[in-house]
Amino acid sequence: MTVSNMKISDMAVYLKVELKKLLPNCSDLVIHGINSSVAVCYISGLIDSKVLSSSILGVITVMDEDEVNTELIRQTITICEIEREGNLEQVALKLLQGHVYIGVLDEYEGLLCNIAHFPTRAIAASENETVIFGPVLAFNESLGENIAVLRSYIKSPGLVVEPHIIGEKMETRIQLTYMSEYVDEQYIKYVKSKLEQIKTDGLLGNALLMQKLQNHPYALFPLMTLTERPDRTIQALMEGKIVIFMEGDSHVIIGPSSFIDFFLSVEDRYMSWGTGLFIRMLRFVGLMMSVFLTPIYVAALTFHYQMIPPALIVSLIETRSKVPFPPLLETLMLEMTMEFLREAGVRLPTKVGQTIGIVGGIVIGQAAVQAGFTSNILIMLVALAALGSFTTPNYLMSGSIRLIRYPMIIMAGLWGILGIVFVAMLIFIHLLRQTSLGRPYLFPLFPFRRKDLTVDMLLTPQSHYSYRGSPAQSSLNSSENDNASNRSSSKDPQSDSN
Amino acid sequence: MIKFKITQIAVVLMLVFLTGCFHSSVLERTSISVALGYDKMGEGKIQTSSVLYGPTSKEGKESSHVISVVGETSKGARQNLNHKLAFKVVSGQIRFIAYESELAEEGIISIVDTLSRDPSYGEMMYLSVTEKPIRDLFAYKYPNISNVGTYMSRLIAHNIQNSWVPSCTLHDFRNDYYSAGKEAVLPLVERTDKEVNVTALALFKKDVMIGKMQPKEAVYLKLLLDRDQPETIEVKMPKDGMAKYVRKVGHSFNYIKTALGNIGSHSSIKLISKDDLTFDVRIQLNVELQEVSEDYDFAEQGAVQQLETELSKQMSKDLVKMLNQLKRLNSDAVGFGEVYRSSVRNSALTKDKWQDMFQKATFNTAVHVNLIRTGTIE
Repeated sequence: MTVSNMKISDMAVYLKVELKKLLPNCSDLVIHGINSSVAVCYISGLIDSKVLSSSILGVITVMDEDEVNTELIRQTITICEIEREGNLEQVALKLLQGHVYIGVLDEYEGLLCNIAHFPTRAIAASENETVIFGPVLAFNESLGENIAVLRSYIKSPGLVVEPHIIGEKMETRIQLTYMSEYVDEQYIKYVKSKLEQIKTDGLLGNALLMQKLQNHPYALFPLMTLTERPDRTIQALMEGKIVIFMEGDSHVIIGPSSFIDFFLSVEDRYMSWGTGLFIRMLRFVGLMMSVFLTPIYVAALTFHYQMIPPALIVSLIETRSKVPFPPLLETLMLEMTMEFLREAGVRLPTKVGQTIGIVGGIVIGQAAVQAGFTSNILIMLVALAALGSFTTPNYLMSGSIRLIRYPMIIMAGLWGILGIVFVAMLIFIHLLRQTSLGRPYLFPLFPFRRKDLTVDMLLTPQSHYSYRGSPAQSSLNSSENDNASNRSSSKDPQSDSN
Repeated sequence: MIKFKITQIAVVLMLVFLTGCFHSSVLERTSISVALGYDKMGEGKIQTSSVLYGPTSKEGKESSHVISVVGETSKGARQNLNHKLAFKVVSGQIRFIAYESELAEEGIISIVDTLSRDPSYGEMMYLSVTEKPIRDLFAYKYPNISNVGTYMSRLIAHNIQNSWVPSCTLHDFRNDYYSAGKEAVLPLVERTDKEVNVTALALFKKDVMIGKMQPKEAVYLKLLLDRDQPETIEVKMPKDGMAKYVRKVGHSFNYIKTALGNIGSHSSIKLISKDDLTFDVRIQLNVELQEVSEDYDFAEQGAVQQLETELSKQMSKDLVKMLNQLKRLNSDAVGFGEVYRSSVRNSALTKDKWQDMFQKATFNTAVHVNLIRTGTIE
């Protein structure tokens, strides 16, 4: 089915017949006959109409009908990449990717011009990962623009951008990026082998790809970071991590991530050393409070009245004496109320969402105590625990933290402190078993790497400016590499690792 | 693989749900006892009084209520408390336990022992002795004390920290009771009208109270015993050599009374001769003068040195007096026996053996007072 082996008089009519066979349900397909020998096809909306009218149609329409041929058109159109294509099936596929097809009568091959222009939004401020100061820029859904943003920060030729295609039907384009001199080859191998294994129609968004990349389908915690902030992405690249961009998703995947990474915000580095360190420590205190505060309340009130300080015991008895439920039920109810509030606030439109906060805060907080539903102290503890979980800069992680609280509360109600320890140990075992792109999830705590920990926690003023604690490769390979801090400049990770 | 997972989950769930119900004590469904007192009743019976948290008043002031029951044993009496209460009595918050002296004079180890058998009792609660029935101390409506149980524990705690009361926790008592060369000391508390007082120390021989020691001597016991030191020491001494430094004022007494602030002290006990049982008892005191009863002229040459010497002399005398009292009562509250045991190899010391030996012990005492500040511009 080629153009030349049939005798036809009008190119536009011919293309209409043939392309309709290949794209039967494509009503937005435009076939535009300029004259009887030249026709232009494209899918409206996918192409840049300004370029089309000024640089393609504008050139072709002034040509003489008898003299026109593909070589002439190819030489005249200068604005975009042009390739020759004779197979109409290929042409149909390219049309769907935003190419314009120019067919000329009596010629075997037509021209495909790439003037794709997919609808995107402008690059805007980050809404979900906000910082007080520092760059406010966030990625948008356009792969090309995101890479351009990246390149505007990193001019080094060492920045590798590797295209891949995922999904048999959706054919989503993704870009694997890393800094070639810092990255550990093992992570790249791991990611590539995982990408090859993916067999699916398509992945809607990077969050799904992230789940495909992790080894543990039952993982409680996110094993890789999702971010829409370029500065965070660039920091990850400088740390020798791998970043995956996806067409149509403003979030990028950063891996490998460790448990500690989820509690760090780029903003910490923008502050002075002491403030940054303090805020990072604060988040870990928040984590501890969020996980243990309400379970300890349940355990202390149900089993361990001995460990309540005498100054507190009187007011505790007083508030509790009006509550008809056992501490376990009381706490579960209040924690659930808190979750309802949060979920309602997220789902509702912004304007209504604000009122939910007021309704929840005043009605549930005040009225619940007056109605004898819960005790004052528990309201305070639940609020503190919720606040603690919101200090975590990563939304996926703060969700996981809130989740692990529930088994802990229930076990605290059944077994007291013993139950809390039991669940804490289960979670700890779980954390120890996780890996992110093959690297232990609790790195640098386990296996312990002092330098990485110092950099991660900003423990020294110098760690503000350094991105890599130890050479990337030594993080995975065992302790024989520990003394080799002088190898941080080594360009070839493979030669060192064995 | 899936089967294995299911087995794993099932094992964890069985661990949780099939291990039986742990006995719970929900805070507001328990009667929380904060102090216990044991009185001797006729026919060998024991009356137990307990201070419990009462309902809180509207001003948020805590209150207490006291109940007393009689039983054949202390544990039995404590069980009988439940007959009078809506919720089960729990003892994990008890911080103060008192024994009537009549009971203490017969021996209290059976009551103390039952406390340490029950894991819900803390080891760090304070034991005391009262001369009058303890029920009277607990049940009195004090105008300024809302909860006498917690008040008592705070009273004892701060006196241990700052004053002459030696540490008197359950742990200390049991430790002394079971050690070969040391006897227990407990504070004596008493209600005087509308307040509670620590009046003296009760000296023990094994678990039997055999005598009292007044605060004046107790200070020296405390100096030898504890790491926490009394904050002030009062010394009364004859004028003698210091008379020439005292400016003449209207009255003239034969004694000079001083109050010394204790900045830091160090005591050491050494066994000098194991055959003669001679102990070297030394106390080194750094003090500041807080009060002196006469108009003492510190500017005078040698005045301060003279005061130091006289203080050392007098305190050494008082120390000997205290030690002699212990010897007379045959209650080794300082723990010379422990010093002997740790200095002499294979002594195989027992409590009975040491009680005979302690009578023969002699002491070389030396108190060295270092007057660091007198508080006046010289």
